[in-house]
Amino acid sequence: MSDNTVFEPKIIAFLCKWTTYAAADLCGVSRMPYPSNISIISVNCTGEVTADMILSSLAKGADGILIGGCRPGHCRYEDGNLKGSNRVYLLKRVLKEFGVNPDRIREVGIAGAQGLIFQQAVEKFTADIRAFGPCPVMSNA
Amino acid sequence: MSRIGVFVCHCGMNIEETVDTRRVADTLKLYPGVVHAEDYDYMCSEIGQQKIRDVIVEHNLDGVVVASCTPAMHQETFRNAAEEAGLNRYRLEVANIREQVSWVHSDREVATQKAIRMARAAVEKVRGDDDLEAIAVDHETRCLVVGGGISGIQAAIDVANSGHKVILVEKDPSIGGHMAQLSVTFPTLDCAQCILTPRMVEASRHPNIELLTYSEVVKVAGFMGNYEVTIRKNPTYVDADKCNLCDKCSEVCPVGVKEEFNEGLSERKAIYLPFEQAIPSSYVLDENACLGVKPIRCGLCQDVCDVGAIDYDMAPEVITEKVGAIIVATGYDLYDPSHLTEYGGGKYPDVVTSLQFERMVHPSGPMKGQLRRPSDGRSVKSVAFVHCAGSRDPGRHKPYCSRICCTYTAKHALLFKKGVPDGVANVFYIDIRTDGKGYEEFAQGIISGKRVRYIRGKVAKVVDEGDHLTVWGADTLSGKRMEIDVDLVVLAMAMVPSEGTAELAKTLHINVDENGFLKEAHLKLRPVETTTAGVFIAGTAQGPKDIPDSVAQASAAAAKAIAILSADKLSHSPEVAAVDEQLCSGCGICASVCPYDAVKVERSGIAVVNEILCFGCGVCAASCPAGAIEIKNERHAQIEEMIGVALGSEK
Amino acid sequence: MSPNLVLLLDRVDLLFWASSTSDLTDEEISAYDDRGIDLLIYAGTVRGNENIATARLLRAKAKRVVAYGACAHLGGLCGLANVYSGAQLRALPSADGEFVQPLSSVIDVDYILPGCPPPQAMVTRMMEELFIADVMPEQGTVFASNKAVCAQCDRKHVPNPLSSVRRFHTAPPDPEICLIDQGYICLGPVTRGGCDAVCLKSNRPCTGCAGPVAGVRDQGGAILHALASLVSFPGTDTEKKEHQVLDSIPDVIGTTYKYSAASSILKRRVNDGK
Repeated sequence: MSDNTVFEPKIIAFLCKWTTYAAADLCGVSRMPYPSNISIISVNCTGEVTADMILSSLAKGADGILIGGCRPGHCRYEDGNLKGSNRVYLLKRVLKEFGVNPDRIREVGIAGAQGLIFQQAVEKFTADIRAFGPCPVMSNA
Repeated sequence: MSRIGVFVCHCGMNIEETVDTRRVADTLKLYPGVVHAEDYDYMCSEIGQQKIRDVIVEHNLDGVVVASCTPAMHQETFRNAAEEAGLNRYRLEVANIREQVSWVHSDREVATQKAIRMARAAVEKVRGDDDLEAIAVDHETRCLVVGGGISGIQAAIDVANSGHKVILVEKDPSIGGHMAQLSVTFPTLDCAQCILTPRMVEASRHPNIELLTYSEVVKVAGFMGNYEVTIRKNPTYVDADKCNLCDKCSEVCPVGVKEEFNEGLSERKAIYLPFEQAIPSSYVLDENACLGVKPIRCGLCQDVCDVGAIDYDMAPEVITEKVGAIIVATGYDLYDPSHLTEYGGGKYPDVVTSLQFERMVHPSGPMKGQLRRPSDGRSVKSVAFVHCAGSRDPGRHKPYCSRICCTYTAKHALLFKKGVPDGVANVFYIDIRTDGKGYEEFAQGIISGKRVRYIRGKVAKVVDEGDHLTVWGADTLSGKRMEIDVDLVVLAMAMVPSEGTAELAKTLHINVDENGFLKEAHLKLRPVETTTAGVFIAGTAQGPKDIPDSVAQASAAAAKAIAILSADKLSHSPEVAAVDEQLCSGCGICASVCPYDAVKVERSGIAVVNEILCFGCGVCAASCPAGAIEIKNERHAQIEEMIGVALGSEK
Repeated sequence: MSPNLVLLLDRVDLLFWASSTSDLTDEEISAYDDRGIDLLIYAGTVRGNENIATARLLRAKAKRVVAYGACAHLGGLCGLANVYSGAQLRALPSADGEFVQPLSSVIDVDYILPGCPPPQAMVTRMMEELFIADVMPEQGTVFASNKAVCAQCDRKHVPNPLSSVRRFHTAPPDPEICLIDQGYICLGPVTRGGCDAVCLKSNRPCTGCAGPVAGVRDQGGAILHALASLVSFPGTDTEKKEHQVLDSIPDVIGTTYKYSAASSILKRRVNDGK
């Protein structure tokens, strides 16, 4: 995996607008910087995230996908976050069988007041994806 | 072909400093479907909004993107402007290039490229947006108030006076809260009960208020305007209408437990009157302390009651009520003093909390106002008051300031000197924060009066020497270490959210902040609202504060609730699920996963959405294997395009 | 093979049909004029450079092309090879082009006849529309329903969160009730109907042979996210139990991507460092 150019991972994040998206905003308000590799898409609930969105993201060049929502028991739509989480669990088996590193998908449960935790999560995830290298799926297309 | 207008905000220098907004606008101008793009200083200003209105009309736009601060700030502002110009408000999207770009990245080139991608993603979303109309919904006109302290009482009275019915739920056997325990209140030194009890009586007698004491909220379902609340009424085993307060039951009761009202400084019986001005004015049987009522193990109280008020057959009653708005005013507790091991909190009987001191100094308190040491009953001749006990200590205890302690400690010192004129009062302080109206004058009068000794320095340790306590502190102004012997130490304990706040917040689907206090929607501009529409907060449950601020917040919350309750009809967001009948095969998976029963498969074999019950969570849309049900204006095709653009994979 | 085919034999000039009448070499195919063949019915997958070249050659010589059956339509069962890297597969050259592709990945396809095999009703419809009707059907026509199999399945619903996955060999299902409601995995909700739910009526699940309904790109992803959403236990802290149920699905890819692995978003196995 040696490359002359520095690999800048592309990360797409699906963030629940009530919690993790608000934590990201709080990061901004508190001027806590994080790597710019991440592009954020707001969803009403992580229960809205489909296998298609995840697979599409990989096919369109995402090296990592971050899904941020409520912690278990805190979903304002009862258990949308758990349904979303179960889908990711099953999808990771599919990814593994297709040879894709399932750790490229990460789920986090971050409350709206936890700006610092969001910053740390993004920093860690970006570093991890950088270490994994580019995701080979897109070049497959 | 779309006709989309893009407005890129500088937000003064907030965005402009890091993002080249001119370049963003110029680049977007070339993007398919964008017919107009400009950048401007403050899009939220009247001029900015007028620009949106003008361009919509001039260029006959069918969609608008504003690249600016987070949608939570001004999406509604911009949507209002669009609507005024004749564009459907749901055809306007906000790209977050401030909180999530300019404020968190520093490289101008990188930030500008990201802003371009996020603006393009918003264009893709708006390209797929349809005209939507808000749904008019009927609603309940009653209000639920949780918590019967001064804040809850004030809120209940305000809502009741507006003509709407209120259900006031309090988990203790009486309303009144902590204010009922206070002796006199700063800065005016009014007797707390004298100003509180008229309100308590008003709340109990108000024709529009239904009082449910010894009760708890166990479940909340529904949404703004249409909440269904489940309340459990715990049995008091005493019929409040019959009880004549004769006290015979209490006299014969063989069980003694610590009395909550006196903060554990006295004992009460298992059957007891919470306090003299309790409302409801009735004795209550604490079944946890009692030897047993089912089966009857003692029965003495019932035997001795002349009016037959005691009924061992009472059982918990679970009721459901429909309300339109909810106000949460569940108050505070004091931080457990046993956390302060270096002060002997919770261990040394003569190290007491501020609330315990209130009871000690109260003329009707456990000591009838005669200050005595709890350990040996000796008169108290010297006191050390300790500020910030547990507060302002991010390393080990609570990071915040509890706001009221400086002023009430000055009051305590004053009351001590009144009761024990030759006594010695030492106040160990770090700062004097007496910021309310009249507080500075009040406290300075005590501090400069020189009858109370103010020492600037934190207390390191308190040692119980048996017949007295030794306080190790420091006087930072003179630079000297101090060891003072006193009879009593009073800790100004930090305020924390009352027990059960976290659970209740979960039940109500509202958030708590990092210190466990109920979280407001916006710290400055929306201090009594939560992010859950229709649920409001007031008083110390939201954060430490004094009585005037609590009462003000209570009235503010009441005003917000009244706005909902008196609306003709409520407006329900139209961003709900919609079924494509050409694709739906009636498999029923959507109906199985919907948390609100908002979608069902009808006889026709097609799923049908009840829009009023739908909250647009998207679980159905994500579960449908055929993609036949989607959230309006948040459809899969829109998200698919946004993903590609956000990743920069489309040039 | 449908008996109806025999009836049409006098309406068509059968130029070649590898399995019965004749086989042609690439040279002989090239001899035809471009667009000289009215209709090409292509069955089977595309695998390897030779297949790709033949498909492209035939496309040039045909006016209209039908992707016939799951293999041509989706890659079919053979597509599962894209996922596995067993010793046999490793023995193949790893150059590009050796993995399975659906026909539409290498040439433009005008019509699709899905199914494995395409059910009689659909074959009949295709032949009527192609050979008997006056006007050729619109390009892009799929000779199946746009709606999922569920629309043609008579089974009744019993509201029942998926709390365990049942296997067919352990117990036969109740023929009246929806299979998913009984805990069996059925791909009916994501799969094109038009087959009259014949498998369901034989008390077998739909395995997805007709491919996904219109608008769904990734058949396996679509059904697995439906199944995962249905797994639920009441109460709190149910994650472990729910994961156990999901783990009990024995062969996720073989079940959810049985015919469509080659036409999924991921398409084939990659080498991602693990």
